[in-house]
Amino acid sequence: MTSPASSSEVKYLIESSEGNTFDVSGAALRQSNTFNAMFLNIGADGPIPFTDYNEATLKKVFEYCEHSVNEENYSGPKHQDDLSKWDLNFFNEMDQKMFIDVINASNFLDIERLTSYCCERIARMLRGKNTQEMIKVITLPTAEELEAKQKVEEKKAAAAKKVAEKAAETAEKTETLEELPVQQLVQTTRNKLTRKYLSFSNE
Amino acid sequence: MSDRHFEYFKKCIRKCPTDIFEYFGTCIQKMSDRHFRILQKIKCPIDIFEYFKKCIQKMSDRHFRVLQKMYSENVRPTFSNTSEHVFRKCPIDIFEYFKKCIQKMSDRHFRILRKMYSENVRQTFSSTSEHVFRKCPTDIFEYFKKCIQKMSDRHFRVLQKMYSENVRPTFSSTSKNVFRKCPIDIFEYFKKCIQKMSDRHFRVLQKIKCPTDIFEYFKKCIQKMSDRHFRVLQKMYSENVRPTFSSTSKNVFRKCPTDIFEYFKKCIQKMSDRHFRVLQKMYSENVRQTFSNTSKNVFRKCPIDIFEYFKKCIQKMSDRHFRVLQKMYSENVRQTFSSTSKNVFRKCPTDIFEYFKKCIQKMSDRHFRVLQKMYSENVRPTFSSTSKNVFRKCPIDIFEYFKKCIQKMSDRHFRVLQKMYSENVRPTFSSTSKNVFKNFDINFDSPFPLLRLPRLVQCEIFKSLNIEEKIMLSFCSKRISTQINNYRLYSQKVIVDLDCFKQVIDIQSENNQDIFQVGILPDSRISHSSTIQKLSIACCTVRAEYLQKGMKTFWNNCLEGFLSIIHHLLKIFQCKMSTSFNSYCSDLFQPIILKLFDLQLEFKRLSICLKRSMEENLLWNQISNNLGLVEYLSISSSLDPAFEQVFTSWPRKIRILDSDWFTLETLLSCTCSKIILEESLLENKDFDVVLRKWKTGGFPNLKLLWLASPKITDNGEQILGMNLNELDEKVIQTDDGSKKATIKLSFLWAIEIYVTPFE
Repeated sequence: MTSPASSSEVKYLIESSEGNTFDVSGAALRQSNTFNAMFLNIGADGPIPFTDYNEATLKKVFEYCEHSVNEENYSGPKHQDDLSKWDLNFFNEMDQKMFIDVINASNFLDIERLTSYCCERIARMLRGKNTQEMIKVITLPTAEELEAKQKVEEKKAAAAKKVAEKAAETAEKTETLEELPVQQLVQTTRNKLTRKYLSFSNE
Repeated sequence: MSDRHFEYFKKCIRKCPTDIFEYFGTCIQKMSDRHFRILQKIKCPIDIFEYFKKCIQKMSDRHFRVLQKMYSENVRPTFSNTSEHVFRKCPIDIFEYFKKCIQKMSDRHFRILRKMYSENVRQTFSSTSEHVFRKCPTDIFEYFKKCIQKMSDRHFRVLQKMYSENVRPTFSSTSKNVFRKCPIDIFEYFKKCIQKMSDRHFRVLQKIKCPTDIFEYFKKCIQKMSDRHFRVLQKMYSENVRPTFSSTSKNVFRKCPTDIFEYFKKCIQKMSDRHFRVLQKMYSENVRQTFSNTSKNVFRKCPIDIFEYFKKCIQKMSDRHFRVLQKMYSENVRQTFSSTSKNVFRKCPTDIFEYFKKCIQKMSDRHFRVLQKMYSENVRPTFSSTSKNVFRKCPIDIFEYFKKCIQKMSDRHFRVLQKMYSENVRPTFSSTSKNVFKNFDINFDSPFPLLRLPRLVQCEIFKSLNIEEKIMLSFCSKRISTQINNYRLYSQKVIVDLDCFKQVIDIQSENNQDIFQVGILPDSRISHSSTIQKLSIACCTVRAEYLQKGMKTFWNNCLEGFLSIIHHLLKIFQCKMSTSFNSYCSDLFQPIILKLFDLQLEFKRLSICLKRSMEENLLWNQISNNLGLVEYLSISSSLDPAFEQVFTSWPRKIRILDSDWFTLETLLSCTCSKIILEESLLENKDFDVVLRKWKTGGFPNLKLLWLASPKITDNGEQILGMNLNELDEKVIQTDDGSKKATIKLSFLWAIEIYVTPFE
């Protein structure tokens, strides 16, 4: 389906939690460090499973990636006044649920620019407020909710492991690269992702 | 004057500017001449006056050396360092030095007069006619009065000159801290204070008859005076400046910041005709277009009414405002701005109004942010509650305020916009499209589940908050506080400074740009303000009042309040504590410090003042057991000589201001890396023992020993087999050759030893 040499021109298939697939350009996908770590050098055979996120969320995330393909290299979060009209519209169109889903997906895919903008947007929600005002704008979770959150993160760790395994399978099928380096790369990627998410779950 | 002092004196003379020392020399010569003339009038035998003449000559030499040292050791290096932190401590250092200077001067006066009395005067008096010194006390006091007045005048001139010649050019080359603590009025104030004080001294001294007591009293009085000066000046930089200023004579602070800000506040609401023309032009030709070009949609639908209103507001500007700004510009701003970093005022034109015009053109973004904030629900109550407090913080630092005012003009605009909002804008805005203020801010209908976000995202959010926001957020719930604590590694490093005297805790970033202050006050100080709200801190429900860059908390038990807040802050920021110079004056200091020691919390800096009381000796016993938790210990007073002080542990660095109680045995057991002993009574033979111990591997941690003792002199007692003068610039090494040390002799009987490993 893809080759590393022409990753900017080719399209990748992304699989959502509903089982639907859709195309994303290599250039857009390369903004995801998670993708870079797993597939960039070895290519992907078949749809890439990001099955922890629904289609609408993933499309929203990659819509941002597609838009920012031609922007200069990211150099830290910008002030809101530096944001373009498109950026403002992009964020303002989202309701709270979608916004949270986008943050989660962006965080998982490790899209630095988008995550950073989302964080800045939340931080602005807290700026200039005293404690009472902050309490009004944020939800303080109960113990049960925190327990549920831990389970979700464990689930995500499992999903990350699954993605890594997929990458490993792809790597085994890849004949363009030497066997030993690919295995090492896949194993390293797998270990890295597993460690990352397990560590979150254990915190 | 010893030979080594003279040698140093000569070296420095060559390096220092001639004019200052020319000036000093003239001043001192005049002083000594005056001494001589006054004393001659007393009609004492010639030999006494010969002796006095010599004494005073020495005194003037000493004055000269003191001032020279002030210049060479304190002022010049400080001023020549033009990093952004240069002037952070500068004024305090000057006055700290000034304080010592006056103390030393009083010591010298005391010694001279005592010597005069004990060795010469008394015998002479007794053997001469009873009429000889009939008028003596009055003359002495008259002389002293004049002396102190002159002295203060001279100091004043020196400091003023120092300021005009050194500080201002330095300011012009700094950037961020341009007008942070520029002390123009401080010197005026200082001068008058000292004059008044000398009057008071004179009156008190006139009432005293016993010569011995007079000198003792005088010594203490001047010490207290300098302490008081120091405190007053310190206060000037604190929150208490405004009351202090307002309670002083109207002549002292004719140009009091209170008036300035009051005036500014009024002026800014009005505007000069010239501003009007600029802004009118801007309005007609540029503004609308500019606004529409910036932040594309921000002012797209902005009604004409705003500009119409703006035009009217600006029309009211007074000529007086213009003159003040022009003066400000010509005296301070232009020079400073022209040499500030290229990014700050890169486009600063010669004409401030030209600059103003451009600034205002670019202000659309700022306008937008302010208006945006105004538009939110919280702004209006905030405005109404802050109306009284708008300028409350200003007096802390007038130049900080000016700098901010000029650089950003946000305060001014804020007030203009505030008025605009209250009178016109709100109805106008409410009738415009909702899209006018649609922006990047979240405006969700339901509360946002912050703690349900991924941990990395939470971390990013916490990281982008400033100190105030982090503290405010941490008070929301224990769980959030814990989360912030978990992400402390990603947080900025902060300094938590305890000031029990003012009952505040300052929390500031390492670069001092981000500052927040928490006040801990008794419940009785609660004002019946609508802004008082309840907070849960460390399982206690307390009432709090929010301020700009700070908050006051009200506690049934202030000690509990301090400990709770400290514990909370240290948990969030994981930093060490420091105690301010003033803290020891508070009754809360001792229990807080001891409690923090019990909790094994570490101190970055601990300043204590141990006086001659049994209670403080007990405090010392308790502190000395925990000095391992202290990085830098500063002891600013002497212990009771009868009390045998024991260091059961040592800090990493130690500085003792009056170290007469610090014996050779104590020094030999000291494990600190930096030891500074002032006013020590150690002698040549003691210093010899110290050096010999170091050579044989003693003081393994030592990096710097700074020892000032009048008893270490070139009196023939050898140190390491050498005379004292021979030790200057001498490099010695340990017997095993692992380390070397450079010995330097400084002024005022100070010896410095720098230890470095052999390369």
